[in-house]
Amino acid sequence: MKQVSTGYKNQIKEMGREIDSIISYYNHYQVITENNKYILTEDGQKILTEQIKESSYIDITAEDIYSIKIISHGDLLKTMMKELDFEVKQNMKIGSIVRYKFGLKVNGEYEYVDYGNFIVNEKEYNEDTQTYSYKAYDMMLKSMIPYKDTNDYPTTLYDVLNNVLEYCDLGLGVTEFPNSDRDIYDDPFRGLDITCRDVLDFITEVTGCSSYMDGNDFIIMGPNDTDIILDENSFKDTNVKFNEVYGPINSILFSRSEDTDVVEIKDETSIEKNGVTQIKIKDNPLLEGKDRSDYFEEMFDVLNGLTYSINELSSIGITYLDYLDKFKIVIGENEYNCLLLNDEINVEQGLEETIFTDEIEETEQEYRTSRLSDKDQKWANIQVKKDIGEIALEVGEKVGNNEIISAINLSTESATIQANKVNLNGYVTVSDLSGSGTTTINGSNITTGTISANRVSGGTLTGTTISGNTITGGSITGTTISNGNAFSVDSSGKVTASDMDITGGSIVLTRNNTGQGMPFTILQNYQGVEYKAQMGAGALNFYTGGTRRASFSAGTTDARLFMSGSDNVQRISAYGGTGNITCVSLTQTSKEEEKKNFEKLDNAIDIVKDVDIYKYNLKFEEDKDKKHIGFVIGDKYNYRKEITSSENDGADLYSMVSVLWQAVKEQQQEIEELRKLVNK
Amino acid sequence: MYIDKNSLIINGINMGQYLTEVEYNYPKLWGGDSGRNLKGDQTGTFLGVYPKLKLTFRELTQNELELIAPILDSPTQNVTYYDPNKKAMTTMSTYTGDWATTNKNIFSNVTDANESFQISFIARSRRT
Repeated sequence: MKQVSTGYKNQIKEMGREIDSIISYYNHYQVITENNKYILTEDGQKILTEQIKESSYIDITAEDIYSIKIISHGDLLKTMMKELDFEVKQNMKIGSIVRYKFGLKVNGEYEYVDYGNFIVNEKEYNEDTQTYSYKAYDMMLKSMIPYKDTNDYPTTLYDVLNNVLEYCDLGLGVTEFPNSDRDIYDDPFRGLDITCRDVLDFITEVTGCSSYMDGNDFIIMGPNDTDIILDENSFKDTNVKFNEVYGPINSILFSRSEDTDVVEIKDETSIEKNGVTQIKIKDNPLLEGKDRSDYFEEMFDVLNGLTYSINELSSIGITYLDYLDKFKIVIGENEYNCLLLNDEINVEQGLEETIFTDEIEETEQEYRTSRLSDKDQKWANIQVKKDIGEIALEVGEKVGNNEIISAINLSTESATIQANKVNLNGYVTVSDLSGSGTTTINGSNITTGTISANRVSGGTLTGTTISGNTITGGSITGTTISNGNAFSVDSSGKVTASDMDITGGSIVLTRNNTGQGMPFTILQNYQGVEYKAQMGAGALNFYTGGTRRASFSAGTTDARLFMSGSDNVQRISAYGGTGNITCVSLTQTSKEEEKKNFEKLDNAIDIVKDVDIYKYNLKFEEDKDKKHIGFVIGDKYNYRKEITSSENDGADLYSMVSVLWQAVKEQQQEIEELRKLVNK
Repeated sequence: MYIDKNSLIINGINMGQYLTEVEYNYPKLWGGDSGRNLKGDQTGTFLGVYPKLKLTFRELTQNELELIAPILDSPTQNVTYYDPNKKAMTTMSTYTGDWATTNKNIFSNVTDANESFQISFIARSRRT
């Protein structure tokens, strides 16, 4: 509400009121519209607009004013630019700044209402009356210049607004507004062929408010509660119409992409009680992001519950109502809650004022893709930024505090696909991956039929067939793994390699079940003979041509070494006959059932006598080493084969002991016979 | 109301000697917004009082008529009169309508035969 005295409010309704008008103007300059900051005076001086002195204004009094019309056409969620149409004798230049004051005589003195500054934008000379008709607009006109981004990102909506106003040489008359602290990460208006006024409209829309100019300051404001009550005295006796009540507003809907992508906030209680009154905001660039539903709350605080009558009213003149004022009209028993959105004041041999308020567009959607809010719903977003060559496709779903997003981003430098699952159905060719960079596939699991590549590296490769020149992986699992040539693992787990070299700090072969048998086998064919080594639980067997020739087994209490030759002679040798075998006891087989072809030994003493015993060193020993004692097998030495091994390559200790045993026995017999002879 | 013979001056000429009667009118001018309000009361913007002086000239001689006619034919005049509201001599800019005089003895060569006529001087601006 414009500030006027109580006397003014009373007098404006009175019969015989006296009115006055004063138009002041600063003539003969033009605005340099590049940024509106400077004006050019008639003598060519360039000065800042704010440097225009009060004394530089010229007053036109009522005697020279033929008509004045102040037009304020506004709407919720929009900017409003006030228009001043007037006809005077004076000749002004386009761009002149004009002020208008309306006066009403109160108690003998005129009390003036200041309607602010306007910029002359159009003029027309009336030859018949020798007057000039002008159209002037308030300072919002300064914003009708091409938009230019002057922000440093990231920034806030407040700063975006402040910067665009500064660019237009306008001020911001509020310190905060709904959603003023929203983060803006990039220029939302990039690539759009729009004016700064359009940007102001977009910003105003997401505040839930409306905006207008107060002098040089931009004001964002919601409907303004006042205590103004108007009655029959303020209105003419014709053209006073009230239509149905609009509201209460109880839903806001954001729409984009031809209405296929909508989100909404609702007051369900109000809807149930009053039905839906919805405000639809369509294709606002500020609401392109996935965070658009964050704007709902503060907008809804402004608009939820707003109710006003749709009307068209011809008044005798009120003049002190301001844009967005909420006021009440009482006519008889009827009360009407009103909101000033459109106002036309005519001053021409009297005063008339017409007020009208329309409903704003409302659209109830068929909710194909949306639910109550973005907080727990799926959403989709397409952004095409032609000027920087970027396309972004995003779909997402909010579930509680978690958000699932799938996105495809295309830029001139890269294409990125982000999703929990990426499904490619059909023949897929990936080419030109051999540049200087590295092609990396990250994933805990890759499952496929066939992968063919020069090199595949991964933590785990699982597939029916994995083939390649080099296959590297922490774990490779497959029915068949093959390089197609020298290495393969078949479906039964058989590994084939032309050459295999297993190298490792620790190499372990493990059989996973507890069954018996010989699970580990080493095979080699040599000159037509199969040589095989088998190893199993506690046993190691060696086969030649299918015959076991040696085995070593370790039980829970003892260990056994078995060897057999073709002559069925069991052999044991240590270090090729040059080593020592040390044990506590050495037992030679002597049981009857293991022996045959018995033959008593006679003349053992002859064998003893035929064998020469030497002290000697083995050839690999030092000469100083302790000498061994024994016979020597050789043509030059006396020995008997009865006490050598079957191969005649060593001593048969059991036979030697037995020969000595028999020799001692023969000697004892001879001794006893001699003793008998002596005793006779 | 007392008005002496020197209390009406138009374009610097004292008119009292040429007149037989002056009617002082003080009409109120109402704005185009005048009418009834929704309550039924008459309302309107009062634009002001625009004084109108209706002068009745006596029969004028040729010389007198030749002196007066240029004043009457000019689009505007400066009229000084005694205003009882202001209680002072007041000057206002006026305009006039058409004027006419009748000479019934045109064929008798009688020069002073012009008959009396009337003309109104209307204030261009409201009385301040």
